[in-house]
Amino acid sequence: MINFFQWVQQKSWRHAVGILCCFFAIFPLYLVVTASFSSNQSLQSTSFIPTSFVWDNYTMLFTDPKVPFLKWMQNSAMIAASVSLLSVLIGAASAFAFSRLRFKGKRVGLQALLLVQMFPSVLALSAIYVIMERVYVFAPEWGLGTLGGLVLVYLGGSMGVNIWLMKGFVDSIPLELDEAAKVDGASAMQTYWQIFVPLASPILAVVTLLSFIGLFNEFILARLFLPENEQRTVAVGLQGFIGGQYAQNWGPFAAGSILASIPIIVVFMSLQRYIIGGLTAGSVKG
Amino acid sequence: MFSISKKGAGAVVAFAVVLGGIALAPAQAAPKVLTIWADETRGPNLIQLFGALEDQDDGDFVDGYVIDVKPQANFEALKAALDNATSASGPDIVLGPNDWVATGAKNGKLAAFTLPATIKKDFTANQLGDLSYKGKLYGVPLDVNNVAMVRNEGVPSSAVATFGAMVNYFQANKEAQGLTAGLCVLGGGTSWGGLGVWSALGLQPYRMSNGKVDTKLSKATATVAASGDPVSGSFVNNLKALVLEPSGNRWVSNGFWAPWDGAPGTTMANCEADFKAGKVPFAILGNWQKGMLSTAIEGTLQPVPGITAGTYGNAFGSVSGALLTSFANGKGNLAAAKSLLNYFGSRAGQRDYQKIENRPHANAKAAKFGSVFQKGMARAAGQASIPQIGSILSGTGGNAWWDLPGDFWWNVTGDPGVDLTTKTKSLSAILKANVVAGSKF
Amino acid sequence: MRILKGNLYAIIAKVIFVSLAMVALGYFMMAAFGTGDTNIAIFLAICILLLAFTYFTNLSVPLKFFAPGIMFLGAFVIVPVVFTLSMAGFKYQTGNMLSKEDALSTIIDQGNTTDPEGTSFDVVIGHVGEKQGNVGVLIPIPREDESQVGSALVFDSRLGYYGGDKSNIAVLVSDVYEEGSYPFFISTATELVTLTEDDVVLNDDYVAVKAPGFTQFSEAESKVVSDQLAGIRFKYVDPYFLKADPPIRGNSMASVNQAEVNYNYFISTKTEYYEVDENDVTVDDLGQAIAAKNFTKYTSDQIAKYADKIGNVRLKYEDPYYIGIENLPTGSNPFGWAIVKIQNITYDKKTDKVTDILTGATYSDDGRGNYRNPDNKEDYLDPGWRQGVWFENFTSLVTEPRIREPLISVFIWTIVFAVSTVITQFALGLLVAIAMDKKLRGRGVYRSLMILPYAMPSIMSILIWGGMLDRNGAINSLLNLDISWLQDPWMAKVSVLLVNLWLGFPYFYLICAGSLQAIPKELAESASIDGANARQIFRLITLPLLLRMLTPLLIASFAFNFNNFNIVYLLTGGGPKPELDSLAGATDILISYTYKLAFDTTIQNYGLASAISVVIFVIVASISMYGIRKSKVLDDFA
Repeated sequence: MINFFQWVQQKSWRHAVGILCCFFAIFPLYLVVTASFSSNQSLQSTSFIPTSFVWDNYTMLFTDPKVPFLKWMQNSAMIAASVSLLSVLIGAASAFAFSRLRFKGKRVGLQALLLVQMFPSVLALSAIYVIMERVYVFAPEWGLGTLGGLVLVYLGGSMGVNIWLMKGFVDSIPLELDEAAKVDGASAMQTYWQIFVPLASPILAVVTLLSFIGLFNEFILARLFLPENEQRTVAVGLQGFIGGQYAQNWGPFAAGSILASIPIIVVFMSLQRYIIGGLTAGSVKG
Repeated sequence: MFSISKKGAGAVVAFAVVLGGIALAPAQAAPKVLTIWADETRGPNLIQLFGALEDQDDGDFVDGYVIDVKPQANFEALKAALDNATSASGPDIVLGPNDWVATGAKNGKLAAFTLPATIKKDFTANQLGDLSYKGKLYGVPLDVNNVAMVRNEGVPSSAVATFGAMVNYFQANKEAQGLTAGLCVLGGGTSWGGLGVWSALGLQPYRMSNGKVDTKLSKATATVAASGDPVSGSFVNNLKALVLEPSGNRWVSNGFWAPWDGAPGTTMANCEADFKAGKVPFAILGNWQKGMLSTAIEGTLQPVPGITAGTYGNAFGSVSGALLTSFANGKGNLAAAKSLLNYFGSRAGQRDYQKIENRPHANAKAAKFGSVFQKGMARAAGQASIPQIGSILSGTGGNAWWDLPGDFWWNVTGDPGVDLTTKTKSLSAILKANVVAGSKF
Repeated sequence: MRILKGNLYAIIAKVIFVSLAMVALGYFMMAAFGTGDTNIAIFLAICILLLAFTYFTNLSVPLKFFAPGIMFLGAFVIVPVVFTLSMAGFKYQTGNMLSKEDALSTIIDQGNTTDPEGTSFDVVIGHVGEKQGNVGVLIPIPREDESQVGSALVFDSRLGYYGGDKSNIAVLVSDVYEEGSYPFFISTATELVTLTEDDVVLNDDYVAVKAPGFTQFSEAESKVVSDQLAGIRFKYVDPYFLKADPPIRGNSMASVNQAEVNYNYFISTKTEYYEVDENDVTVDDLGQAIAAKNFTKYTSDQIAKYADKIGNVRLKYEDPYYIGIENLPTGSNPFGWAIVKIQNITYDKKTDKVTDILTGATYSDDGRGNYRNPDNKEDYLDPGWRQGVWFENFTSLVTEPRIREPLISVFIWTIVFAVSTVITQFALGLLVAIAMDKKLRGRGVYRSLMILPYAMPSIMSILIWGGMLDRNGAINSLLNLDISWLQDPWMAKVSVLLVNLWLGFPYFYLICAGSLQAIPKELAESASIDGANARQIFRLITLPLLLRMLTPLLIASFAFNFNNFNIVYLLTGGGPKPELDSLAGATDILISYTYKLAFDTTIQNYGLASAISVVIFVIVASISMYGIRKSKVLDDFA
C-alpha cells in the first residue's frame, strides 16, 4: 500500500464498504421480517433461519376489532403530513429571514433558537398538557384528546429544528439571485415568494419528508394526548403491543412496524435522487 | 401558568366574558356520561361488561347515566395520563393498583367515599385497608393481582416441598431431560413476579407481621437474611447453595433460576415454550394468564416453596381497585360515580366482570364462582401473599425494589471476583432505607 | 425572472388571509375569556396584535417572516419551558402538586366523616315544593319494634311464567350464596314451589335457568312485563315477600322485603329536618314510600339532571351532623343511600388555620406546603401545595450526595454520548459517501439498502436492537459470542452508540453525498494540477469545505442527541446500574435521568427535575454558545 488514496479509488474497496454497511443496515430489519412471520411472540428466540411461516400477525392487524390498525395509520399520516407541511411552510419564512435579511437581534435570535432546542422538552410535558387541557375546555376541537390539538403542539415543537435545518440549507444557496432581485427593487417578501421559494423547493421538500419521518416516530406526547384507541397514532398503537404490563406481543408489533414502514420507505426510495439532490446546493443552480 | 389576576384585565375582560359567553353557549348532550380509565386488559373487558357506549340504555347501571370506558395503551400510559389529568379531562373512576391510593390522595386526585355495609362485609379488612389512606376509603377492591408457581406434571410427577428439592430435581435431570432451566417467570417480571424466588432465598423488600409492615423486623434482620441471621447468613448462603456456582473467580448461575431476559442460563422469552415442552419443570404464572397452560397444569398452582417444607416464598398479592377520582366532583358526577362503585363491589358486579377478566375475585362471596385457575390463584395468594406497599417499593428512601433484584443479580454474576457479602450488605442498606422512608410516607 | 411588484391580488390575498387568522384567534380569545382562561386569552390577544402590527404596517420587515413561527414557538415551546423552569423554585412533588387554594378546598371537601354509629338510610330522592332543584330526601325509618331482618337478602333469579300461563308471572330463584331458606324455588304471586338441585339446570354461575313448569321470558317479553314487576309480591317465607327487578342480561335480582313494616317518615331538606305524618305519605303496592305531601320523587331523568346537586347537597339533620346523599338509585334499586356526616375539618380564614373539631387538633401553614399540627410534627393534612422554596432544589443538587454524584457522571456521559454520536455518524456517513462518490455498479442498490434504517420508524428499530443485543439474542448467537451487550456498564454504552450509529449514519451519508457533489470539481482539479495528492486534497480542501457547510447540521445533531431521550429510554432504560444504590444507570443521559426523577417513579419530584433542567440548560447553552462563537458559525451571514 503505497498510497492510501490511490487504493481508495479502486472499486473493490468501495464495494467492500458498500457490502459491509448494507449488511449492518439491513441485519436488524431481516430479523423484524422473520419475527413478523413467526408464530412465536418473542423476539429473543428469533433465529437466522425462520422456524415458522404464518400470516397470523398480519391478519390480526386487520381483523381484531381491538386493533384498528388502518385507523392508526391514517391518524399518523394525517398528523405527520399536516404538521410537516405547515411547519415547513411557516418555518421556511423564518429560515429565509435568518439567512438573507439583515436585522438587529439576528444573532440573538439564532442563538435563542438553538438554545430552545437544547431544552429537555420531555420535561415540559406536564406544562403542555395543562395548557392543552384548558384549550379543550374552551375550544374542544383543538384541545387535549384531539388530533388538531396534537398537530398544534407538534407544530410548535418542530418549528425550532426545522428553521435551523432549513437555515443551514438555505445558506448554501448562492446569493447572486436574490441580489439580482434586490437590484430590481423587489421587497423582501417578493424576493421570498418569487425567487426563494421556487429555488428552495427541493430543500423544503426534503425537510418536509425528514420532519414527516420524525413525527411518525413520536410516541411520548402522542400517547398522553390521544389515549382513545381509535385516535392513536401507529407508533403508540404498536408500542402498546410490547409495552404492556402483562404481555409482550412481538409478532404483531413486527408485522405492524413493517406495514407502517412501507409507505415511508416507498416515498423515500422513489424520491431518493431528489432527496440527495435537495440536500445539495448543486441542484439549485436553476 | 403565568398568572395574571382577572382584576387586571379590567373592563376588556368583562366585555369579553359576556361576548364569549354568548359565543359559546354550549348545548349539553342528553345522556350523562361516567368516564372510566383503565389499562389495556381491564379496559376492553369493561367495555364488554358495560356494552359499547352507543349500545347502552342509560340507567342500566346508574340512573340517567351511560358508562364510557377508555382503555389506555398500557399501564405506563394510564399512569402518565392520571398523573397529568385534572377535572377538565380526567375520569370519574380509574382502575388502578392499590399503591396509587396514597399518592392519589396526597395529590388530591382521589376522593374518599363510604361503602354500604352490605357490600363492605364481603371484603376483608386487609383488602379495604389496601385501598385506604389515613382511615378513608378511596376505592372498591376489584381483583387480586398475584402470581403462583406451576409445575409441568409431565416432568416432576409429584409436588416438591422445598426450594432445595426443586434444585435437586433440576440438577439430577438436567442432562437426561435436556432441561434449559429449573424455574422461570412466565408473567410479572423479575422483581414482581419473581418475588417468590427471592423471598424463598431470603431477600424481601420488607417483612410483615400481623398484616402490617414490621419496621423493626425489617430493620433488625436487614431484610436480606432470614430470621435472626446476620447479613452474611442465609441469603448469601442460599444463593451459593441453590442458584449460583463458582466459575473461576466469579459466580455464575447454576442454570436453575432464570430471572429475566438474557440472564445467564436461559431466557424468559423461551420460558413459555420450554415450560410447555417439559424443558423447564417449574414456572411462575400470572393470574391474568389463564388459558396459557392446560387446565391440568393449572391444577398445580402453589406458592414458591421455601427452604424448609411448609414455608413459602412470599408473592405480592394486592388488590386492584376501582378508584374514585376527585374529578368526578369537579364534573358533577360524584354521587353517580359512587353508585357505580357499588356495582363494582357487589357480588353480581364482581361475578360478571371476572367472568370476562378471569382474575381471582376480590369479593369473597363472588370468589365462590371462580374456575380451577381462579381458585388456585386465590389459594396461593392466601398462603403466601404480602401486600404491595408502593411507598416502600418505589424507593422513597433509595432505589426502587423493582430494579434491585435484577441489578443485584447482574452485579453478582456479571462481575469477576465479586464479594457476595459486600454486595448483599449494600443491597440490605438500600432496602432498610426504603422501609424507613416508605413507612413515614 | 421578472419581479411582480405590489401585485394587487397578492395584497388582497394577504389582507384576507391575515384577517381570517385574526378572526379565528379572536374567536378563541373570546372563548378563553368565557371559560375563565384569562392567561390564554391574553396570550391570544397578544398574538392578534402581533399579526395586526406586523402585516398591516411596515414597522418591521423581518417580523413578517417570523411572526407565525414565533407564535407557535411561543405557545408550545417557550411558555411550557418557562413554566417548567420556574417550577425549580418550588417544592413541587408528590403530595405538593396543587395550588394552595385548590389544596385547601380539597382538604375541606374531604374533611367530613360519618357519625360514630355510621348511621345511614335508604332514602327516596326527590324535591320539596314546586322547584325541581330543591333537593330533599324522604326517609322511611322502620319503627323501633319492627325488625328488618332479611331485607338485606338478594337472590339471583330468572324472570318467566309458571304452569304454561304467560300471565302467571314467576321468578326462578337461586340462593347461590346459601343465605336464605331454600336453595332453589319458583315463586309467583300466589305460590312458592321449592326445588332441589336435581330439579333444575344450572348455568356457570350456579344460577338455575330451567326448572319444571317454569318458562323464562324472552328479552322482549321481559321488557313488556317489567312495568308490572313493581306491583307483584312474589311469595316467600312469611312475613316476607320477594320483589323482582327488571332483568339485566337475563338476570333479575329478587330482594327479600318484609310485609307490613311500619315506618316513621322524615323529610330532610337543606333547611329543615322534620317528621311527616304517615297519612301524608303515598305508598306503592309494595309498601314503599314514593311521595309525600310537598315531596315529589325524582324521575330517572331528573336524577341525572340534578346529579351534581344531589351528590353535594348537605341536608339538615341533628346539629352538628348533616345528611349527605352517597348513592343514587340504580337500575335495580329505587332507593338512594344517604349517610349522616359531620364536617370535622373547618377553616379559619383570619388565622389561616385548619381545625379538626373531632380531635381538637389545629393545623397551621408550616411554610413547607402543608397544614401541619404544631404539637405533632408527623400529623399533617393532605393534600399539600406547591410551596416556593427559593433555591432549595438547587442546593440539594450539591448538598445531597445521592443526587449530586450521579449527576456528575451522567453529565459526563451525556457529553461523551452526544459528541461520539455526532462523530461516528458523521465519519461513517462520510466514508460511505466517499465510497459511493464514484460511479459504481450496484450503487443504487447499496444506497437503497443503506437508507433503510433512516426510513424505518426508529422506535421500532431501537426496540428490535434491544432484542438482538440481548445476551441470548441474535448477535451473540450468530457471532458465537457471550457478551453482555446491555448489562455490562461499558458494553451498554457501546451498544447505545452502536445503535445510534445505525440509526444516524444513513442521514449523514445522504448529507455528505449531496455536499460532496456540491463542492466544485474545479477546486480538486486545480489542486491536483498543483501537485497535491488525493489525501492532501481531501484533508485541505474537501474536508474543511464539508465541515464548513455542515457545521450547522452537526450542531443541530449534537443538540438533538444531547436530548435523545428515545434511544436511551427504549434501548436500555438508562441501565444497567453499576452500583445498587445509585439513582442513575450507566447509560442514563441527563434527560432520561431527569425524566426518571420527574415522572417515572411513584414519588415524583417535579421541582428537583426542573432544577436539574435549569442546570443542564445553562451548561449546554454555555458550551454551545462558546462553540458557536469559536467556530464563527453565526458570523457568516450575520
